[in-house]
Amino acid sequence: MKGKEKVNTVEVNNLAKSFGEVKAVRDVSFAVKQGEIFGLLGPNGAGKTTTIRILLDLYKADAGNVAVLGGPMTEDKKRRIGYMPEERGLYQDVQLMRCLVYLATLKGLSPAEANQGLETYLERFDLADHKQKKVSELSKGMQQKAQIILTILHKPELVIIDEPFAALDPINTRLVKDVIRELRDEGTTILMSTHQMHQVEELCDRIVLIDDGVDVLFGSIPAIRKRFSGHAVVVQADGELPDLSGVLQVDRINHEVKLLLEEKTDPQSVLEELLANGVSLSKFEIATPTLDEIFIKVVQEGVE
Amino acid sequence: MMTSNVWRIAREEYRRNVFRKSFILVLLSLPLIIVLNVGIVLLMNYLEKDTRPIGYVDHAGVMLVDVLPADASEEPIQFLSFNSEDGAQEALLAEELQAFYVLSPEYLQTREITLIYVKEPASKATRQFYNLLRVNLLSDVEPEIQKRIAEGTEFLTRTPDGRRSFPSSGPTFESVLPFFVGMALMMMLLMSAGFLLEGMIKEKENRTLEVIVTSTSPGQLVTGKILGTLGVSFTQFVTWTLFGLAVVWLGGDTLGLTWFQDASVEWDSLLSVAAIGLPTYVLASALLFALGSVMSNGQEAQQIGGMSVLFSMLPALAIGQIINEPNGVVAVTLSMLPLVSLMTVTMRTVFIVVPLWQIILSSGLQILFALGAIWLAGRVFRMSMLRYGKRLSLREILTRVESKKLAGVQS
Repeated sequence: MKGKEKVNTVEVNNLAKSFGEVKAVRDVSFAVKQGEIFGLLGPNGAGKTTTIRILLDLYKADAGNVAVLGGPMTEDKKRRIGYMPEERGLYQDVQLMRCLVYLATLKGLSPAEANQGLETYLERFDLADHKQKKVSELSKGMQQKAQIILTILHKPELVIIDEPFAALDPINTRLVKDVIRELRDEGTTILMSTHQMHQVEELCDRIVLIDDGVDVLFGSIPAIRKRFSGHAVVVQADGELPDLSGVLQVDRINHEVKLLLEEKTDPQSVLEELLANGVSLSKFEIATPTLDEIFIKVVQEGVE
Repeated sequence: MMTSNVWRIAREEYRRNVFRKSFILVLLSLPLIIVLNVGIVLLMNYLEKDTRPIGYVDHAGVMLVDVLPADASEEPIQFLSFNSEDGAQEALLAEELQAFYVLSPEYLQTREITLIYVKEPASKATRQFYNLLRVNLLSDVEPEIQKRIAEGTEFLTRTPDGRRSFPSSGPTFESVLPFFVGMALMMMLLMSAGFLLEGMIKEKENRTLEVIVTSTSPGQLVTGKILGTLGVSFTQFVTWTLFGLAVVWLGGDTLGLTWFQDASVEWDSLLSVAAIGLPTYVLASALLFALGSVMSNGQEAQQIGGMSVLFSMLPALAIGQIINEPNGVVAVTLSMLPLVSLMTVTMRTVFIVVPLWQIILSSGLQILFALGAIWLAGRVFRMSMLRYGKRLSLREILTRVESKKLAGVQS
């Protein structure tokens, strides 16, 4: 049976945006499928936040076009989207509960619905005891959790979150990751902008990497890692390894050896040579780079 | 749904401003200052109150009665007649009298009266003595004529249409009330401008605006905030008015404000001021909102905000022209212009009844200006809302608004 192609919740084509002389976004294209967790990655100043703000119709693009939830952004669609900006936006001198209820009602919830939903989420996020406190009295991490609750409370179809783990400890990071996965399982599309590559690797289905206002990588994480693999193998063997042809560098990492191969060297030929030399192997795998390594490679070395 | 967001924003703006210490302090400060001042005056009056009689020595033989007709507005002073200055002097030194008057034998020809005192008596005592003297001098005429003569000359100036009259004592309460209501509106705008701008800058600084504008449109945000601020000003207005009424009704006798209790209100003039004042308020608030969007720092915004409200008081510079010709070209033209119309119309209202067609036209124009200002504020806000720490130049605003209009026409 042929699988049904998922609809794109977000489509961005050849986006460009300048502020005076500064070109914040030069040429960015990507698409986010319905029900996936999508990572929007890039170094500081790459144009991630500007791209998000264009998506949300906070900025108008100079060139290119975006489609959100099947077309241009409209006022009605604002209620179908949850957005958490990088710099958190809650009223500081207001009680947490009142602040959240007010902002949630602007998203179309009735005060009763907002109150009911908040009770559940505040309990889950361990904020129930703090709901009567002023926002300014909460820690940065608590404020961030409150902002995450606000972003998802109205059950949006598209969630856009900028640096969701920035101020969270490991326990709360895990909690937020669980919530994000649950949302995905319920069919919500999540567009996540972050610098934390290990979180992206763990959570995201696909990513786009933006550098200097241009998208330099786009696709699923396994496909991208595969694309950057092939030049090294990791070997675990009994005893010393023989000298092997086509190997540029040998790095010992704990009980393993990483063999950096020449461009023309095929990993298969290395395996054959090892076996031919009677080496007893307990592990032989093509070394796939981490997203961190790919990020650095692409951004610093300009490899695409 | 769109309307509900406007009301939610308005309600939140109202709650956030009204239920905070600084506002409550401002709200109560005026009544407290008045109460304090009145209290000090009453205390001083009480401390200086002298209930001792006033004496007189009548060498002219004109003082036939020594009791004034009852007057509810003032506590009567007792007058004591003395046959000789020595007797009066003795009583004065024995502190039995506040002071005593001596009417010379030629008083009727010379009007010569001498007042002898240790400490100068209060004006009330002097006033009552001269009233008593007047009553005695007119004792042989009819009481009504007596009363009329006592009232003195009264010039009443009337406008040609007879709808405004000015006693020589000054304009009447009902004719100046619309002026004061208009001024009160401007003053409240000046005060609420601070709250509006401070709130805007705070929301920009803590990025709450970024969350709000992804939930609602800039137009709804502007309208909601203006309505909320209007509510804040209305609260101030009602509180202070109620306080004023309470003072008049409860303390009218003590403060000599009983005339206030009988004052009538010219509702048509008051409604005229409201018809122009409310859209002017909205117009000014929308412009202040736009200003708050452009400014990057609270102090700067408050200073410019204050200046822009003062702009609406510019007609004060043309006050001579407006008083001389309240229906002249300058007065009528200023009555139609945005921001300055309110003050112009309120000044004219003191001297004439402004023609209804002018009120309707001016009110309609102010409503149009107010709607335009809301639209402009939404645009300016949209252009500048996320430019943290950067100011939008006037040229940029005009260019972008113009390009938006063109883009709108093309699409």
